Amino acid sequence: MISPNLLFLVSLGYVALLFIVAFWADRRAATGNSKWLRSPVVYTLSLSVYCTAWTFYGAVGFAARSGLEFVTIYLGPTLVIVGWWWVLRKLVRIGRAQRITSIADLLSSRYGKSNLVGAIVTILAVVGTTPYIALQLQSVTLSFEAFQPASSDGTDSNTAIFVAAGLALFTILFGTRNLDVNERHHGVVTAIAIEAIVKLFSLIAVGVFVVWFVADGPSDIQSRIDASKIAQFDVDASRWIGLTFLAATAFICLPRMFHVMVVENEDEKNLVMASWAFPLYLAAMSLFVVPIAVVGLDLLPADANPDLFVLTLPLSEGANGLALLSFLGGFSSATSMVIVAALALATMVSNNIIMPLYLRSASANGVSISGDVRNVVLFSRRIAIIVMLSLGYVYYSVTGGSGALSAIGLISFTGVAQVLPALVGALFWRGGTRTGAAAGLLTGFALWVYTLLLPNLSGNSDWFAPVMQNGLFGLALLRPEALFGITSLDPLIHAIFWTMLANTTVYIVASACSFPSPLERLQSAEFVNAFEVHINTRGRGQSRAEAEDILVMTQRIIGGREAQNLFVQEAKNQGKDGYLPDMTPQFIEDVERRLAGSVGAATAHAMMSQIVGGSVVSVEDLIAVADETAQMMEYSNQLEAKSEELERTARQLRLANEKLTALSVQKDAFLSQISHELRTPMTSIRAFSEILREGELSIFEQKRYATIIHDEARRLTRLLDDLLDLAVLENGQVTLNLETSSLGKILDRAIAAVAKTDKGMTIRRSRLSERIVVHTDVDRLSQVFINLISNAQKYCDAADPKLQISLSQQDGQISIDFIDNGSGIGISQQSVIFEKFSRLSDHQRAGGAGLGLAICREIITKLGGTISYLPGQDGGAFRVTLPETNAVAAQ
Amino acid sequence: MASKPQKLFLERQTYRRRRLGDLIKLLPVFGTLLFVIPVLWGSEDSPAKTSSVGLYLFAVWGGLVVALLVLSSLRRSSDAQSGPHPMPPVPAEDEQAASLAKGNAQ
Repeated sequence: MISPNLLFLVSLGYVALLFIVAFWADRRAATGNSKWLRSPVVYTLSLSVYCTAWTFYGAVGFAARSGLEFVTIYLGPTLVIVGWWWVLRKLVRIGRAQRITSIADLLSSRYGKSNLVGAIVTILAVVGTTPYIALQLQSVTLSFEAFQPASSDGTDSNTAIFVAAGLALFTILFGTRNLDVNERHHGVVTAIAIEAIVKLFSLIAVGVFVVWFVADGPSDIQSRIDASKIAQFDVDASRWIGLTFLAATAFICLPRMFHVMVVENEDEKNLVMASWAFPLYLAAMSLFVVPIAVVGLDLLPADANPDLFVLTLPLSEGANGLALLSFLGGFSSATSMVIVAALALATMVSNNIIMPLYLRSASANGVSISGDVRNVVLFSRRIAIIVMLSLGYVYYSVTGGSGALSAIGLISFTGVAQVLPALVGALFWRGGTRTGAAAGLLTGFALWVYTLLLPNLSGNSDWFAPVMQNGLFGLALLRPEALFGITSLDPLIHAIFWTMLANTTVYIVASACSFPSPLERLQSAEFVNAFEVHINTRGRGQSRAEAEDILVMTQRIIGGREAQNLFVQEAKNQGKDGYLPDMTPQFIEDVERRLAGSVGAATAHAMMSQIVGGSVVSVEDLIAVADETAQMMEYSNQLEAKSEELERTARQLRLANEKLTALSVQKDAFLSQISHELRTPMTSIRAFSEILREGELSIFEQKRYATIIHDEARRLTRLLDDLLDLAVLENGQVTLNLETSSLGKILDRAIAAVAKTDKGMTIRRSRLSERIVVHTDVDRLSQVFINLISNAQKYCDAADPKLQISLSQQDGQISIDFIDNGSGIGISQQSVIFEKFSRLSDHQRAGGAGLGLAICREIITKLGGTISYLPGQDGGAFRVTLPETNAVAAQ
Repeated sequence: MASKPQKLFLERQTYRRRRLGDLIKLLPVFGTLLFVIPVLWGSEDSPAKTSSVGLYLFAVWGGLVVALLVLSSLRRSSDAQSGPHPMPPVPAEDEQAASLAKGNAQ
C-alpha cells in the first residue's frame, strides 16, 4: 500500500527534478550551448504536450465507454502533421519570419496589427482553456485519491490547490524570468521533453504489464475485446469524422500547441522528422488503451471509474511500483499541459489585453513611456499565470469534478477551434479582413457558448433547462442542441457543425464586404506570400561585413570621396585605422542623417535598417518612403513641364528671329533695287537738262534731248505708279470693284490697249470659248492681261511672232493661257520671274522695272486665282486660273 | 529494328526528388481516406468488430509512419547529392547570416 506521504514525496521529487532540468537547460542556452535544443527529437517530444492527462487517463475511460472512438483524437493530429507541407509549414515559416509570439499575435498581426482581433482570440482561448486546466487538476486529484482507501469521502481540494500553486510557481520561474524577443523558453521546452518521455514510458509499461502479465498476450486481449461490451465497432460516421476534424483543428489552434509548434520552433527542418516521429508517438500512446480498458472492464468492479484504470489496474494487481510509475506518468502529462498552456495564455493576455490597456492609459495620463516596459510586461505575465491557474481551480471546484473527463476536453477543443476559419484565411486568403475575422470569431464563440458551454455548465439549472427544452424565446428551432431542426446529430457534432458553418460563412461574407486598411493589405501579402518573400531572419550580430555594406551604400549616395572621409574620420575618432569603424548606434544615426540629406529621411532609414536591423523593412517605413518618393516625383514632373515650355518658347523665338532677319534682308534688297531703278532715269534727266540749259544747240538736238527727258520722266512715273500699286496690293487694302463681264470682252479691251504699241505680233483667239462670264474686278484683270500680252510682245524673239490665247474650264477652274512662239523661259528662271525687280534680259530693252509679273501675281491672288509659267509649250506660256465661283453660266 | 537507344531523360535526380515531394504531399490524403473507411464497414446485422478495426487502424498508422520516414529520408539523401530543391527549408540562423553578409558585401 502506498501511503499518501510517499506519493507526495515522489511528486515533489519529480517536480524538483523538472526544476533542475529546466534550470540547467536555461543556463546552457544562455551561454549559447544549445545545440540539442534545435534537435528535431526535442521538438517532436515537445509536441507531445498534446497528450495530457486526458490522454493518459481519459482515453482509457473513453475507450471503456465508447470503444474505438477515442482514437479519433489522435488520428486528427496525425493527419495534420503527416500533411505538414500544406498548413504547418507555412505556419512555422510565418511564425519565424514575423516573430510571432502566440496565436493571438498571429491573427492580430495578419489582420492589420489589430488589437481587437488579438483580444477576441485571447478571451476565446482563456475561456476555452480554463475547463481544460480544471481537467488536469481534477485528474491529478483523482489520481492521488486512487491510492487512498476506498472510504475517503469527497474531493480533497487541498491537493488541487497545492498542485495549482506548484505549477504556477514553476511556470513563473521558468517562463517569466526574462523577456526573450523570440519568446523562447528553453528551460520549459526541455522539461516538457523529459515529461514526454516519462509519460510514454509509463503508459507503455502499464500496457505491457496488462497485456502480458495480467492477460495472456495479444490473442487473449483480442478475445477479451470480442467478448467485452465494446466488441462492436458501432461508431457513428458523423462522430468519427467530426471528432477527427475537431482534433485536427485543435492540434493547430490550441494555444499550447501553437506555442510549442511555432513559437518555440528553432529550425523549420525539424518539422520533417516530427512528421513521422510524432504520429509514431501518438500511435504508441494509443496502442495499449483498448487492452487496458477491456481488461479493466473485465477485472475491476462495475462501478470503478474507467478513467483511472491505468492506475487502479496495477494497484489491484499489487504492482505498486508500476502504479507509482503510472501515477508519475499521469502527473507528468497534467503538469506539462498546465505549464505550457499557462505560459501561452499569459503571453497572449499580457500582449493583447494588458499591455494595450496600459499603454493607452499611460499615454492618456501624459506619462511618457520609457523605452523599457519589460518589467511591466513580465509582471503582467506573472499575474496572468496566477489568474489562469486560479480560474482553472475555480472551475474545477465549481463543477465539482462532474462528468467524464473526456466530455470537458471536447468542449474545450470546440471552443478553441473557432479560431480555424480566421487562421486558414490568414494563411491562404488575401481577401480576409479584420472585420471578417472579428465577426467570424464572435459568431463562432457565441454559438459555441450557446450550444455547448451553457448546456454543459448549466443544462440542468433553472434558468437554462427551459431553453434546452423549448429553445430560445420559446422557438423550437433555436434549441441549443437541435438548431434549426437538426435533431439527429450528437450534441457535440451538432455544435461543431453549426459553429464552423456560421463562423466560416460570416468570416467570408464579412471579409468580402469590407475594405481592409493599407496595413492589412500589406500584412496579408506578407503572410499569404510568405514563401515568395526572401526573409532576412538574421540574428543580431554586427560584423565587419555590415560596416562595409554601409560604406558601399553611402558611397553610392553621397559620393565616394565624401563617404570615405566620413568613415575615416569616425574610425580615427574611435582610435582605429583604416576605413571601417565600428558601427556604433551613434555613428549609424550620423550616417543615416547624412544620407537623408540626399535621398530623404524615410528612404535613408529604410536602407539603414535593412542592413543594420537585419529585418525586412517594416510596413510603416515603406509607406513613408512611398510618400517621399511621390513628392519627389511630382516635383520633378513640374520641373520637366516648365523646361518643356521654355524650350518651346525658345524655338518660337528663334523662328520669329529668322523670319525677321529674312524680312530685313529682303527689305534691304528691295530698297537697294528701288534706289537703283529710280536713280537711272533721274541721271538721264539731269544730264540732258543740263545740256539743254547750256544752250547753243540746234532745234533738232533740243527736240531730241527734250524727248529723251520726257521719256525718262514717263518711265520714272510708270515705275512709281507700279510701286505704289504693288504696295497697295501687298498691304491688302485694295478694294475690288466687282462687275460681271465675259472674258471675251475683257480680252478685247486688253488687246486694244496694247495695240497702240503693236510691233506686228499676231494674236489668235477662239471666240467661242471666250463666252465664259466672270464676276470679278474687270479693270484689274485686264491690267493683268495687258501685262502678259505686252510681255509677249517685248520678249518673243520669233521671226514671225504669234500669240495664242486659249481658254478652258475644268474642275471648278477657268484657265486662260497666253502662249507665244518664242524661245520661252529656261527652267532655272521660271520661279524667279514673278519676284520683284527680276528681269531676264537687258534692262533698257525691257523698258520696265521688272515689277509687272509681281503685280500680276498680287492681283490674281487677290482675285482668288493663280498665275504661273506653263512649261512644255512651244514658246513662253503663262497660265492664269480663276475660280469658277466667279463665273456665272453663260446664258 | 536494332536495340532501342536508352530513353533520354535529363535531370533524373531532380525529377525523382520532385516526385518524392509529391508523394509526401499526398500522403495525408491517402491517410484520410484510409482512416475514414472503417465507417463504411459492417452493416446492421453484422457490425464490424472492434478488434479488427483496431488492428486495421494501427496497421494504417504504422504504414503512414513508415512511408513518411522512408520518403523523407529518400528525399533528404537525394538533396545531399544535388543542388537546391523545391521545398527548401530555411537554413539555421547563423548560416544564413553568413551567406547574407557575403551577398550584401558584393
